[in-house]
Amino acid sequence: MSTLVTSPPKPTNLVKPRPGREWGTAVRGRLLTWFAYSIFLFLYLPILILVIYSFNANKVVGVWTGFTADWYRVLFNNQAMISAFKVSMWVATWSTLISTILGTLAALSLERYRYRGKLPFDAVMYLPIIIPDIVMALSALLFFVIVAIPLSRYTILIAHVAFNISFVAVIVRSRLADMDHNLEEAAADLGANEWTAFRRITLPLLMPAIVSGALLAFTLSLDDFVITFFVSGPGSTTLPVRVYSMIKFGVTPEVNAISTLMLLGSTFLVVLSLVLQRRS
Amino acid sequence: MGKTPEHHGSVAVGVVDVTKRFGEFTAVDNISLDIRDGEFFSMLGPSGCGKTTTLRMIAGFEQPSLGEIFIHGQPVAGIPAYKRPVNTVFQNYALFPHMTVAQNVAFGLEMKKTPKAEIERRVGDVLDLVRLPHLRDRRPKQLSGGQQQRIALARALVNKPEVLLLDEPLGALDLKLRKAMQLELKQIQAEVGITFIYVTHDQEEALTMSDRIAVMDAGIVQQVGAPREIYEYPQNRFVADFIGETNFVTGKIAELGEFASIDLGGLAVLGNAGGRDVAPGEEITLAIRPEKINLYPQGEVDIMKAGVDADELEQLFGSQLPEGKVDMRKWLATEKNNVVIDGRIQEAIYIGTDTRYRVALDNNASIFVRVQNFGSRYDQFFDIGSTVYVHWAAENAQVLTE
Repeated sequence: MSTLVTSPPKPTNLVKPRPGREWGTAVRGRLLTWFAYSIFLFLYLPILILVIYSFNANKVVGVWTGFTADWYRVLFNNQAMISAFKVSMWVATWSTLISTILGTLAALSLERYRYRGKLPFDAVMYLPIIIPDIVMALSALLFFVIVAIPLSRYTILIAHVAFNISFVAVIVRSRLADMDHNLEEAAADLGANEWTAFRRITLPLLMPAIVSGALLAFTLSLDDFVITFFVSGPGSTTLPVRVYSMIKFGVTPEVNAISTLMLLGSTFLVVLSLVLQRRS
Repeated sequence: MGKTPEHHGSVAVGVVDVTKRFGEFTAVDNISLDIRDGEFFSMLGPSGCGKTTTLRMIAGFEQPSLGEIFIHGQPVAGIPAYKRPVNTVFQNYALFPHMTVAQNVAFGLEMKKTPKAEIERRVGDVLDLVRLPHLRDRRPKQLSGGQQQRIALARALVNKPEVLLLDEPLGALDLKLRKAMQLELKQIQAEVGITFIYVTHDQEEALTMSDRIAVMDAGIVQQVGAPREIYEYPQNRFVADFIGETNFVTGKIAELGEFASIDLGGLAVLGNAGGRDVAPGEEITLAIRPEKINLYPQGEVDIMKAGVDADELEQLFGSQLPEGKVDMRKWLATEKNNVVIDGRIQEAIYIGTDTRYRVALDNNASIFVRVQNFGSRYDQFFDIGSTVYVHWAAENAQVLTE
């Protein structure tokens, strides 16, 4: 990699680089740029097409006949879609709230305290991030069947909390690790008890990480399909699951429209999360 | 300056038989210290000597494994850090990044539920004291290292602690700023009259600022004393070696008296056993500072070139003032308890303020000597290979047993 990076010549290097070498570097640089462009294209062209066809007047996907925003209007009148959206928002909101609190506490315990069984806990903590969604989904379903909890929006909530905790914990913990432990000691030294030190010093400094963790959790919850598909019961369909059942009957511009809206929402949340992380 | 402490001589912090273990590792090994009210007390030692651990135990961040700590006579075991009447200036300052300078400084007073108007006044006063009143609305990130250091000091001092603990507070500053801050800290301490306990690994810093120093190594207090005492009369080899430069020459006690007669492998010299428990025949180490050794040319020298002034000569010789030339060995012998032996210059290095010589003695030992460079007219340089008289006063050569 390092050979691809052009660096200014060192001041001690009085010998001019040979023209051939300069040329080689330039070609390599340009190649790399085109490579990057094609990757972007490969990644985002399908999405772009999806967005464009959500405004297609023709019901047949792939045949462009004219611009219309009609499909969005149809979408907002689709009761099933709206109820799915409500379930999605409900699950996302509550799972974010619960997993943010639990994830933050987990991060604090892993980073600031020593206790028996900490190492295994530490290892297991990140499992939901690593294991395939389908495994997570199956085990969640099995669990609910075994303990005989009927599938409903609550089971979706529990499953979402389960994987969101890990993501929140990872983000909060990395911020906590960077935070100077002396700050908490300084607060204690100045007369703050543990709770006051946490409230006045640790929490405000962690806030950007907590908020960004929460935003990520919200996004993940909104976007999740596989796990939700397995643990959702009758009458408790989230938006992605609803969309999936719609495309069983073919891709319609209406599906394109809802996808475009979900795309916008998720992008907004992820960007917000990144901005907050950057600022902290 | 120099406000006299109110309870002069009374103990501000008492450390009694304190041991601190971290698992298998003993960080502090049965130490006892009495830190007096109003004094500037330093704990000096290499990293890992237990000085910071001791400070943290006084602050309440660590609990002693054994022994007890008293603050103004009160045992503090079980009292958490936030209830102790001490404040700390941390090595990396530990200023709260999300608060302004004024909010940082006010934090301790807020915790004590001090009335708002009083907080306002005291924050203003202490920022004046550290001469940074114009920075009150800045964030720590916007301050230079030196400014952060002073704000950290202000944040601790504003609480009027009974004892202020400072953990290498100047460590992160560059040399010039550090020197300026040393004097300023000392001045502030004199002004507020609070007991300072200062942890450092920098011997010069400790010598510059402290009323008393505890030299520590391997979790043990090696010596406690005023800077002059520690430097001039080190108790053991570690202290002599850690503080300043020292020549160590091994020998045997020949006879005890006002000064000990010592056999340095065939050379008969004098040294200061100063109340140490030594007996004739015992193996000892003689420690002599390089600047406390003088070199003189052998043979007759022009008396005005001998590096002595006329008044001094007259005092020494009275009416029998020798004229013209003098043999330095004879002349030095006229004063009591002087050691004069032969030496040969092995190495001469000019380092500006001094010239550093390595001198071989007749017993094959070699010692370092620092000769101050006064100015070209007065200086006498010795060539490599030339023979010289090596001289020291008996009280400047310390007899060490460990």
